[in-house]
Formats: sequence, structure tokens, C-alpha cells
Amino acid sequence: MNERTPPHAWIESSVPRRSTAVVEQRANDSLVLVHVDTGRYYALEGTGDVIWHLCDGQNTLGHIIATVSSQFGKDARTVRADALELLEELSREGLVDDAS
Amino acid sequence: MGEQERTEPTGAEEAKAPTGAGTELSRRDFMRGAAAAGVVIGADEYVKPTLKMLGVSRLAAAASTPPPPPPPPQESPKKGCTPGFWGNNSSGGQGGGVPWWNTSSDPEWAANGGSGTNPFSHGTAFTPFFTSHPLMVGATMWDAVNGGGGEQPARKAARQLVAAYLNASFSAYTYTRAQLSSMWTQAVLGGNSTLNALNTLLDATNNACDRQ
Repeated sequence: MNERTPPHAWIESSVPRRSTAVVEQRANDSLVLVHVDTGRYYALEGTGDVIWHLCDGQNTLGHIIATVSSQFGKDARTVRADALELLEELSREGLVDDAS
Repeated sequence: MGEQERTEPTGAEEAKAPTGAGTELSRRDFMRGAAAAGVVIGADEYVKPTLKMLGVSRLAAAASTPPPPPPPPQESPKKGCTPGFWGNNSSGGQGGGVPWWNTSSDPEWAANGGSGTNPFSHGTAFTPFFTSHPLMVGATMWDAVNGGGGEQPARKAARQLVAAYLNASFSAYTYTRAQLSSMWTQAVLGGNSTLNALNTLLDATNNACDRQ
């Protein structure tokens, strides 16, 4: 099961959506994600869990960046770069897709 | 860490919330909205989000294991002849069907009621006719169907497979030739337990025919 999703070009109007094939479980400071199709399991750390839960297939990436930036008082440029990096990993692993 | 402890106040934050009260109001609204959306709000401190792969659970093994061969149909199955019929039988003699497929387009195949022509002959290589297995490299169909199969699951399953394929080619049989090829491939990918299952399955459908 080595299938990985090709890189996705995330833009501000993208609408990240969590895969329905993923189950999550909180463990200490991280959120553990298990992809039930591939059997891979991951730890989402830092502010990843906030971004993860905002990937509901409704919020645009731009909204997610603004929300996280506002919540944590972090400059939007840094949040954007971090969010893009995270989304690229999540989509590569088939954990999120773009609902837009 | 509270708001006052942040070390990186931003221009954006200042523009949106010039006063402490404004910040608190905005923050309260956010927290309410986040809670309504089911967002878990943890510490206030921004920590770069990361995704770490921890490993592959046993779910993956389950997902990558091919499904077992299909069970025999409920209604009376169309059974075929044994490997001993198509090759050398267990008592050391030749089975009745041996001369029916010893050459390509063997005339005895049709003469004995076989449909069309025999799908292969004694000397046909097992691979690539069927998916390759290390234990079957260089083996002919004759090699595969003879010798009792031995103890190796792949050899036992291959012996039943060749007999089953001949049965399916000769007349009505429980499985089609395409199904048999697919079942062998799945068994090879699945390993010894799946090969053993295939052997058991085909042994049950190869154990009776009115020609032997």
C-alpha cells in the first residue's frame, strides 16, 4: 500500500477537506490520525490539530490561515507557509483533499 | 501562555484589535465559534504544525492481503477430474486423461468430448501461462500436475490449478478459466496460507468426475 497522492497546488481559495477514511484519537499533546485504507498512522503536532479540524470542506485555506493567525497572534505569512507545508503533507498521504 | 506573554505581536493583530478589550471580544467570539465547530482549542502558543508518520498498523496488512478465493457455489457444483486423472495418479499409473493433452490441439481432446482444443500441452511452461512463483520457475504443466504436489503450498496449489484449468477447458466446471488464473495470482500474492486455501478449495472441486 504505497499509494501516495500527487502533490496538490494549494491556493487561498482551496477548500481542504479531511478524508472520511481517517479516524483520529487524541494522545497527550498530539492528535493521532489513522488512515484506515493504508493502515498508516500519524501524529499531528503543534497547531496541526487546529488546522486539521478547520479542514471541514467548508473553510477556504485563506479563512483557515486568518483564523489560526488571529487565534494564536502569529503573523499570517508564517501561518500561511506552515499551513501550506502541512497541507501538502496531508494531501500527499491522502488525509485531505481539495473540495473546491 | 497568555496574550501578554506573546513575543511576536503582529501588525495584522494590531490593525484588527487595537485595544485589549477588542482583542478579548474578538477572541471570545472566536472561541465560541470554534467550540461550535467542534474545534479543540489547545494552548494559545503558536507551535509550527507538523505531521509525523508513526508507522503502519496491522490494518495495512489486512488491507494488502488479497481476499481469499471465492467459496464454492451453494448449488451442486460442477466437479472435475483429479490431478491424478490428468497426470500420473497416486498408484503410479497414468491417469485416463493423460493422452488427451500431450500435444498442442490434441485430437484426443475433442475425441473424448472436450470442448474446443486443449488449452496447453504437457510441455507448456507453467510461467508465464500462470503468474510466476519462485517454486514454479522452469516447470512445465506436466511437472506441475504430477508428483503429488509435495509439501510446498505453492506446488500443491499449482497441481490442483493445472487440473482445474483442464477441467474448466474440457467442460462445465465450478470456476471459469479466468477465475482460476485470478485465484492463482491472488494466492501467490497472499502467500502460503492463501496457497493452502486454494489447494483445499480446488481439491474439493477436482475430486469427482465420471471420466476416471
